Order: sequence, then structure tokens, then C-alpha cells
Amino acid sequence: MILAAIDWVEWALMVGRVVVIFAALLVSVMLVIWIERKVVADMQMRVGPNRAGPAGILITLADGIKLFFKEGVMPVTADAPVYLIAPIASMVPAMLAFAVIPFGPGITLFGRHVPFQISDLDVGILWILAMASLAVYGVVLAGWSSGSNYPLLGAIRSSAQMISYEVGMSLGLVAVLLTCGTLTMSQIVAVQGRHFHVTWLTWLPKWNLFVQLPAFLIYMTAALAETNRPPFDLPEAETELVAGYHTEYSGIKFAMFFLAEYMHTITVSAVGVTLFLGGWHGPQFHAVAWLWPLLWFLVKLYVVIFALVWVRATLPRFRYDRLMAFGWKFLIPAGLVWVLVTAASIELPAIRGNLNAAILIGSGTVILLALLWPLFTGSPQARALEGQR
Amino acid sequence: MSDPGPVTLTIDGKEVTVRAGTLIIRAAEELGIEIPRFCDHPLLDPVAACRQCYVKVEGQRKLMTSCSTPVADGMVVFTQFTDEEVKKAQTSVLEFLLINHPLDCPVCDRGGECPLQDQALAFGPGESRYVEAKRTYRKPLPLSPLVALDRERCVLCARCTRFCDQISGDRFIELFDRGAAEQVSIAPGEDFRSPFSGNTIQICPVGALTARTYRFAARPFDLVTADSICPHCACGCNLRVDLRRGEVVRHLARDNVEVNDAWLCDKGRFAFSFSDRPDRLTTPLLRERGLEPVSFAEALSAIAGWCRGKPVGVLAGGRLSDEDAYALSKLARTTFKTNDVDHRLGSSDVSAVEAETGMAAANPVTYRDVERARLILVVGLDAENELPILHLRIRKASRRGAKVFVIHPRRTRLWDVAEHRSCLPGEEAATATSLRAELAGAGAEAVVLAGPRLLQSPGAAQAMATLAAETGARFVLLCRRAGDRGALRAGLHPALLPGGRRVEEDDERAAVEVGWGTLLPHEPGRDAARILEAAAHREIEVLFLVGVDPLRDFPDATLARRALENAPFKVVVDASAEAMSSYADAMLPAAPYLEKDGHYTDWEGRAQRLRAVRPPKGLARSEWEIFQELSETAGADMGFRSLDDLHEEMANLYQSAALGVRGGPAERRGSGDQPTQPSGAGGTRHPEKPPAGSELILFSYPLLIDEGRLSDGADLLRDALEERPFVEIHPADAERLGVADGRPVRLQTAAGRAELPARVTDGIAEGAVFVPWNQPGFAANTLLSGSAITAASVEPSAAEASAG
Amino acid sequence: MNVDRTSEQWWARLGGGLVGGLVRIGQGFSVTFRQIFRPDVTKQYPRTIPPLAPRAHVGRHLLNRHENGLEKCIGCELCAWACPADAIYVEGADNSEEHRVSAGERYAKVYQINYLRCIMCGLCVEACPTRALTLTNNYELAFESREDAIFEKWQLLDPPPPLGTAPGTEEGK
Repeated sequence: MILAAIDWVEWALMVGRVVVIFAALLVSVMLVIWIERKVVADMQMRVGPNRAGPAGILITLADGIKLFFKEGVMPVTADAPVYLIAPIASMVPAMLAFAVIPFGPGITLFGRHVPFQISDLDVGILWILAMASLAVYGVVLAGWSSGSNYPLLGAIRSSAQMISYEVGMSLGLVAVLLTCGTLTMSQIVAVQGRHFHVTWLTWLPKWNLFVQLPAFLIYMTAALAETNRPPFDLPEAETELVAGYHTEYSGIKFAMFFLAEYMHTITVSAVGVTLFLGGWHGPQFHAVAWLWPLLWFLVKLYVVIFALVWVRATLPRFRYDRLMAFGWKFLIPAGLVWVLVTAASIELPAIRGNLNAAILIGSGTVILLALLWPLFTGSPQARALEGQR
Repeated sequence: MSDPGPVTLTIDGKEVTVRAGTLIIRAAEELGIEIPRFCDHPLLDPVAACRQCYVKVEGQRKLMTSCSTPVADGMVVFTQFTDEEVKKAQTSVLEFLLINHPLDCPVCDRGGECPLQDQALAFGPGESRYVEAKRTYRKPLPLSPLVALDRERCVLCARCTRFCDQISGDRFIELFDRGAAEQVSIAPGEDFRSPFSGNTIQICPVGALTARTYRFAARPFDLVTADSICPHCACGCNLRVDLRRGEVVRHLARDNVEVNDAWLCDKGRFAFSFSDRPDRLTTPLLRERGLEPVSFAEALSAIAGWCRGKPVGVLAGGRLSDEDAYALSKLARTTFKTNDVDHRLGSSDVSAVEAETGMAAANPVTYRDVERARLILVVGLDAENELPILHLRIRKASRRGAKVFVIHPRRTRLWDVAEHRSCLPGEEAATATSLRAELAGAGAEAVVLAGPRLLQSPGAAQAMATLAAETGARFVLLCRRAGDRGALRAGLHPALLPGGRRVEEDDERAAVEVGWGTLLPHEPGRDAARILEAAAHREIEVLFLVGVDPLRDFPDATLARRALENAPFKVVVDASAEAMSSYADAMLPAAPYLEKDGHYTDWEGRAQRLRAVRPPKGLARSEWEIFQELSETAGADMGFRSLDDLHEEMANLYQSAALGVRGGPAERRGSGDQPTQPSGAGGTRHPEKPPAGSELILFSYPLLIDEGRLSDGADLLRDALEERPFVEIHPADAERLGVADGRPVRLQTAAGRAELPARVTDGIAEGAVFVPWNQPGFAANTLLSGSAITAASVEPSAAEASAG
Repeated sequence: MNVDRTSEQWWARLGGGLVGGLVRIGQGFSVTFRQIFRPDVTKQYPRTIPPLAPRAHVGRHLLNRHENGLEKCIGCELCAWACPADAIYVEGADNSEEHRVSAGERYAKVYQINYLRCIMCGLCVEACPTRALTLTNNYELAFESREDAIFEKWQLLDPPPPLGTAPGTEEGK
């Protein structure tokens, strides 16, 4: 009777979703690593991996196999249970954060509506933030349990960096929250599906990118710092701290940290896409209706990832004290200011409506122009250097 | 001659006070000022041939050669450091020397350690103005299998010829011709057959005289260098050992004015390969079906088992370090409870115990005493063959005006500086007493050097000691092998304990008993001959052979073989396996001189430190470590955990020897008393009844270069200096017996017979014949029956007789 | 930060320097972005082997001979002496009339260079008095064991066995 009472189809669909998204995540990690290495190489006048598989696409597989066969050396001073758990503690929050990201509106299978999302929590954004906070554990545990001084230093720096930039990230998310009025991820995506009322802008969807560009920048910057990506990767830099919190890890355990870092990257990119770039919105077609949102989501995801890789290839590393200063003394005040502006634009009746939009959009436009204009002109110094070659 | 007193002079503005008669160049060295030189050598008379050592002396018209100018009070000297004219002169001399000097440095053995290179770099012109052709010679010219001459490189400093003339007396080489054609030369067809030829190589300042054993072997930076002491004879020469990749490539002499000056004999210089031979023992061996390699624990426990409660005899050789000898002495007395210990092979003179205790306890005579003596009496010693550096010292003394007498049945190479008194073997002591008056005249400035072979004639050694004591001369009973004095001191002697204490004297023995904490047997033990006899009759269960080969060393080959064949167990402790491997039941690997720490005591009684130059090969270790472990395994731990423990015990026992004053006649038991015969030691072995018709006394001793084990691998040395066996006979005897020079003769003694070519010479006493001990193809101990002196008959060999 | 900002462009001071900062960041991004479309400089070794200058001394040593076939090396050990890495081992030996290897008295019986130690500094070439030792540009010296890295005389003497991708070897076909 109990067996009959359980809705097996629902369970199967749930498990199916989990498996598919989990597998997709792992495969995308491989893809993202390949993209990163190739794009960075192209930006550096070299070729990047080109031997493992066609155009080197199997490079991550080769690396994984290599790491699989490496000897896992554990220091005698290491705290064994914690040492072994730390990589797992690092990977799990990254995977879990994916549970609330919507890939599309859904599909109808077996008479049921299957959303492309493992779980649509009411407090999706909070879940994201919680997972971001949990990720710190992995780092701290790894560094401390290694029983060696460089990992410990790296872990402390890294964890301090992560918890500092969490505040900044949260402020960016708060702005989104204010704009969209909901914590639920799918609803935030839905809000971004609307278009502008202004006649000459009706073609433009109301993505938070346009309405909340400063928040986007704050969020992306904080997300870079949160995941220890360059230019905020001092705790991992070889010349600074050997390899930071994962110095004493080799073989499979190191592979797990490696994987965890790239999962974090994908996660924050996916969250950014969801919250700022309109999620799965984009031109739709009737044939294979469920595919197009997914595709748009993936396109946007990989654009953001490309942007992150681009940032890596371009910007030099922040020194740690300047990194912390930037986080506390610039990013958080900027975030606070923007939250105030956003809140004011929402609450004050006089600014409601078009003026609200004007402020929000105007500021965004200025920043965007400032960033994009030199893309087409370059800098005099760069032109001079290139002329020399 | 009045002593002029010290002289003060100024060199380069610095004052120095030296003894009168010092040369300027030596005075400058005292100040640390180095004046370049080639022909100058502190041990050779100055000749001022090279003109390199110019200095300016204030008041002199021309530049003076500092190597030939003695100092004067108030002299003011300027060297090349303070005077331009001197500097220019020295530079010019170097330029001249380099005119005809070939561009051989890359192929010259001296490259890298060459005084000409160093001085040319430091004081030379830097560039040559000579563009003409250099004079060339055919080169290299082999002067002997050991020494090669390159006349192009020679700078005509005459150090080599002066050495041969003034120091060794072997005048084989000389400078011939003049001008640019002047060259060192040797008589046509002659070889440089001097046992000191190697010294010319070391003193040659360029690569003109080179060692053929070292030709192209290494460069200075390839070498690992260490100081050591020569392991061959008891001269105690200080060595510098050079190794390349762990193998010895050469020995050089180290300067020690107190011991070997700056010289080495050719055996010490060229016989260094014996410790790198393939037959080195590297693991203990135990005889099962054959000799199997085992661990030390296994070997030592087997040996301890054999020895438990059974009689043990110990025969030691002459290459043990002092510490090894002491450990062996203690092992025999405390673990095996026996006095059957002997390091001497063939001397069995009981009455010599007195003389021996004297040598064991004190350092009576030094090299310096010999050098400064006014009268030297050499009795029963062929110095060049037995103690070559002492031979050089005696020659040095004679150059200073000492009168030298040599009493020996065979004329020695001191013949050009000494008065030689021939006598029959065994009569040396009697002949020596005829010089009593001369000895008394010289008093304390006379030195009596008694050779170790006197111990073969009963009473001889003691008589010489008494003679010296009565005339006030200084007396020393010499020993031949490097470890002999140390072994005597350590008590490797049936009647002596460490420090020269006699076994029979209760109070002396008690001192040792207290030191060792155990009661010791109070009867003197068997000497070497008795030990071998006992072994042959199986009265000794275990025979220890520590660095000794009785088949070659003992003057009765037959008895030695019987002993080795019959003794139930034979334990061999040695560095090489070749000698005794067919007889040994256990072989323990010992470390040779290169690989051990310790001391060698030379004939003066001077203990000189030996340090390990490289780690021992395989499992080999110092003998004292082996004996210590054996004592532990046998349950009588000697307590030596380190070399320091040994030194502590030895210092206590050697120093505190309250043995009464040794050396004076009054304290001895009087020259008339005969010491009581200790029981069990056996008296002198009288020769067996001589065969009918024998009328000659045969005697033998080892020459310097022979088939001895320590010269193994020194093929060039043997090519150069080893003689084929021969028998020396006086012309009167030769004529009487019908023996012609160079023809084979048959020697017959009670022990055996041999056929050898004859050498008719008046350098041997009439009535005596001499055969060398151990030459290729002939071992003299096959003719002997326990003493190195025996009766023999000589006749032309049968083939010869039939040929008519 | 006391930077001289008088010569800056008009937009650089806008917004308290913020706009200028953003513009400059953008300029940096443009550099890397446009680099994607430029050719790479990577050489695909070993499919294409870029040639070296003939006198480049980055490879194996060569022991030269005279025109008459005698070796120039006289085994003097000066190269071993000069080597700062102690990579060379030489044993000299006598020439005899029956067995003449070099002109003169001495030749190198054993000549070894340990390429795990050699740093290609060329001091040995400078030290050689007969110009017997020279460095070539044959740099393909991969070996599979430490013993293989010690090249003996036959591997260094003119003409030397081919190495790496040279014709006649496995890689060079």
C-alpha cells in the first residue's frame, strides 16, 4: 500500500533531472577547462593544447587520467580524516548550488510538467549565498589539515578573501532582489522576460544587465574573488604560496579541488546569467520548443565564461592587501550606494516610472560605453607597441 | 769551533734574526717572503746554477743569488717585491729558461703542480720574444723502468745529479756537454738502478724526470690526497698518498726533518698497488667444502668455538698498527690465556729479552742522533736493503764528518763512506768489541746501530747493548718491518707483556694484571719456532696467523708447511687472500694502512699517526675491531669501543712502566750473569748436523725489492730493481771449489738443496755465502732449518761439472 | 598615489577617475581580444623542426680530427679541469708506434662527458689547447637512464653516431 502510494514517476523524473544535470555539469567542467586553456593561449600568441584529441579537446580527460595515476602523498603532520574530507567539502557546495538554477521553462513528460531545474526553492538566492558560504569550509579545512605552513597561510588568506567578497556579492544580489521583488530564481527569470514600455526600447528585454549594470559588475567582480579566479587568485599563485590551500594534495584529491574550482566558476556564471542576463530568455521557435531556451541559456553561459577567461588573460594579479582593500573599501561601499539608489528609485514616488528607469539605465549606459569604446579603438600605447613588431 | 751567535738582517724592510750561516733564501722564507728558485733545495748543497733567486744586497756591486749567500749581521736585502732591478732580472731568467722549454704543459705529467708553471705565472714575463726554432731531443728517454727523462724540459738545475751525488751516493746520472746542448745523461747501456731513484722525480722542478708508474695517470685536480705513514719498513717515512677514484696512483714523500727528511726509498714510493689487487679479502670466509663467504658473526662464533678451552698459538706479522698489536696481545692473554704469541719470525735468542725490553720501553736513539753523531757503529745491518732512509741518514752524518764503521759479513752500500769490517755471520758482536776504544773515545756522541738479525746469534744483541753501555755510546736494537717496534711494545712476544714488562717478573706482570683485570699466565710462552713445532705436533689446536705467511717468512719452510698442514684449525687475519687461502679454515678481512686509523711506531720508537685515506673495502676492518669482536664472542670482552679506549689503556700501560731505568749497565743483572732459561721457551736452535763436506756458512736476509706481498702489483718496480736469485761467494772459496762467476752452482744444506747462479765477489766474507731471501723462483727458507744462518756445501752444478 | 595626471586625456578625470579607470581597463581587454585574431608563434616541434644557426653551441660535443685522420685530442684533461660542472672524465695514455691515435706522446684513452651535468657553457672548448673539442648544435640528447647520459668517446669522436631526429635514427627515419 505504501508502495502504491508513492508516485514513482515523479521520483524517477526527479532522479533523472539530478543525474542529467550532474552529468552535464561534469562534462561542462571538462569543456570549460579546455575553453580556458585554448582561449588564454590564443590571447597569448600560442596554440594551447592541441595533441590530446582533435584540437586538444580531450586534454582534461588526459589530465584526469594522469592525476588518477599520481601518488597521493599525505604529510605525516596532516590530520587524516579532515584531510580526506576537505576536497569533497569543496566540491559538494559547488554542485549543490546548481540545484536552483533554471535552464528552461520545462518540458512535459509522462503527463507531468518537468521543469529544467532540480528544485525551485522559494529562497533560491539565499540557497546560492548559503552554498557560497559553505564553500569556504572546504578551503579552510584543506589548508589547516595539511599540517604545513604554506597551505595554512593560503587557506587563511583565501577564506578571508571569500568571506569578505561574499558581502559584496550579497549586495549585488540584494539590488537584484529589490528590482525583481522575489527570491525565487524562476521568478527572477520570468521578471526579466518583460520588455520596456518606452516605445523605442520595446524590443529590448528588461534584463537586469541593462537595468542594474553596476550590480552586475559588482556581482561579477565579487564572484571572481569568491571563486579565487584571477585576478583575485593570490592564495593560489605559485610564486606566492606554492599552491595555497591545495599544496599538499596530489593525485585524485588535487583533481577534486581542480574540479571544484571550475565548478564554482560555472556556478557563478550560471547564477550571473540567471540573475542578470535573462536566464533562458531569447528568440524561441515552435519546433522542439524545449530546446531553444536551453540553448540560449548555454550560449549566454559560455559568453560569460568567455568573459571570465578573458579577464584572466588580461588582468594582473591583485596583491593581497590591495585585494582586501578593494573588497572592503570600494566594492562594499559601491554596493551599498547602488542598493540605496535602487531602493530609492523603487520607493520614492517621485522617481517611480521613467525617471527610475532613466537613472538605472543611464548609469548603466555610461559604464558600458566606457568599457566598450576602447574595444574598437584600442589605446595609443598598445598601437605603438604593435607597430613595432 | 766557536758559535758565532744569531744574526739580524733586514729583508724587504722587515727584520729577522737567524742562526749564523743561514742562507738568505731560508731567512726570507722565515719571514714568509718567497723568492723564486729552481736549483735550490734545503737538503742539497747550494750550487747557484739557475740564477732565479736573485736579490739585491745593499753594498754589493751585482745581484746576488740568495741560495748561495749566507747572511751577515746588518745585511739589507731587497727581493723582487721591493726592487725593480731584481724583478727585471728574475723575469729575464724565466724568459731565458722558457726559450728552449717545449710547449708540453698539456701532455706533461707535471702540469698543474709544476714550479716552473707557477713561478712563470707569478714572476715571469707573460709573453715570449723567441721566434726561432727550439732545440729538441728524442724523448722520453727511459732511464729505468721507473724513471723517464725528457731532456727538452730540463732546466739544468742539477738537483737530480746533486741528489745522487750527495744524498744517495748512487752516481748514475750526471750533466754532460755545455751550453744549449747540456743535458742529463747516463752511461750507455746502464739503468738508473738506484733504490732512491724516485726522489729525483719528486725534486725535479719541471717534468724532465717523471715516474713511469704515474705517466698520464691523473691530473692534480683528479686526486684525493691524504697523509699517511709508509707501511713497508720501520723507517717510518711520512707519505702523501694520492688517489684517483679511490685507487692509489702514487706515493710522494712528505717533508719531515725529524724522520725521513724529504726522501722515500723506491719501495715506499712505488709499491702501493697491493691494497687495490683483486685478491683483497672483502668478506670473512669459512671453510666448509671450500672457502665460503660468511658474516662476521658466523665466522667469529665458529672461531670462538674452536678456541674454547683449547690451546691457541698466535703468530703475527710486522704490519700491524700499534693499536692492532696491543689488541692482539691482550686477546691472546685474556681470552685465550696463553703466552704463545710471537711477531718475530726466526729470532729465538732468549738472552735478547733484555735488549728487547729496553727497546719496548724507551726511545733510545733518534734520526737526529744519528745525523749528529761523531761515530756510528753499524753492526749486522745492511742499511740500504733493510732501513733505506736510515742508510741515507748515515751517509748524511758521514758528510758532516762522522766516522762510520760497518760490521757485516757482506759489504753494504755504505762502502764508499764507511770502514767495513768483514766477519762471518754470527761473529758480528765479537768483531764489534774490537772497536771498544773508538767507541769510548766518542762517548755519548757515538751511536751503535744493531741490526735485527743479531737476534739470531745467541747473546749478540745483549753483548752489543752491554758494549754500548760500557763505553757510554747510545744503543738501539733496530727492527725491520713497520709494525715491529709497535708489536714489541704491545707485548706480541712470549716473554714480554705490554710496555716491556717481563712475564716472569711478578711485580711487572701484576701491573698488567691490574690494568686488564685478570690473572695472566706466568710462564713465558713458546716463540715462533716452538709454536710452529707445537702446531705440527697438534699440541696447539688453533693457530692464528695475523698478517703473516710462515711459508715464506719463517726460516724453515719444511716446518712451516708441516705446521700448516697438521694444525687442526688455522685462522688467518689478513688483507689479501692469496697467501694462506689453501690452508686457512677461517679468513677474516683486515684493512691495510690506507684504510685504518692508528699509529705506526718506527725504529726510533716514535709513534706516528696514521689516518684512514678511504673507507675499507667490503667488510674489511681494522684488526683491533676484529679482535674486539672476537673477544666479545668468546665471552671475554676487552672493552674497546673506539680507538680512544685503546689509546687510553695503552697510555696507562706504556707510560707507567716503572721498569727501572733501562739502558744503563748497573741496573741490568750484570753482563756476566746468564739469564735463567725460561721453561718451555726452548733455547737457540742449533743447526742440524751439517752434511759432509760442507764448509761454508750460508746466511740470508730479504733484499729491499723482492717477492714480498706488499710489492705485489708493483711490476715496474720489480722490473727496475728486483734481482734474479744468486749466491754470493768469496773468490778464494770460489777458486777452491771450482766455481766460476755467473755459472750455476748447487747449494746443499741440511734442509734442502738449490741450484743458483754464482756471483764471485770480494764483498762477502771468506767462508760465508749469501743467498737473497725471496727472489722470483727461489725462497731461501727452503734451505734453512730454523735460523737464517746455517751450514752449506757448495759445488758447481752437475751439468756444469759434466761440461767441464 | 602621487601620479602626474596633468597630461592625461579629458575623459580620464571624469567621475573622480572612475571613468578613466574603466576606459583603461577596456583598453587592456581590447589588446588581448584582438590578439585572438593574430597568428600564433608556436612551432609545432617535432613535426616541423626549426633550423638553428650552424655555429650555435647548444648540443653535443665533437672531438675533431686532423686532416690525416689522427685525433686532435691529446688527453691533457684541461677540459675536465675547466668544466665548472665536473661533467668530463678523461684518462690519458701513451701513443706507441704500433697504436698511434693522436700526434705526439699522449692521447685520450677514456673520454666521457656526462650530459646530465653539462651546462653547455663552452669553457671546455675554450680550454682545449688543440681545438679538438668543439660544441655542435645537435641538441637532441634525450636519454632513458643515467648511464645512457654519459657519452663515451665513440659517441663524441668525429664522425659521431646520429642523434634524435637526424637521418639514420628512429625518429629521423
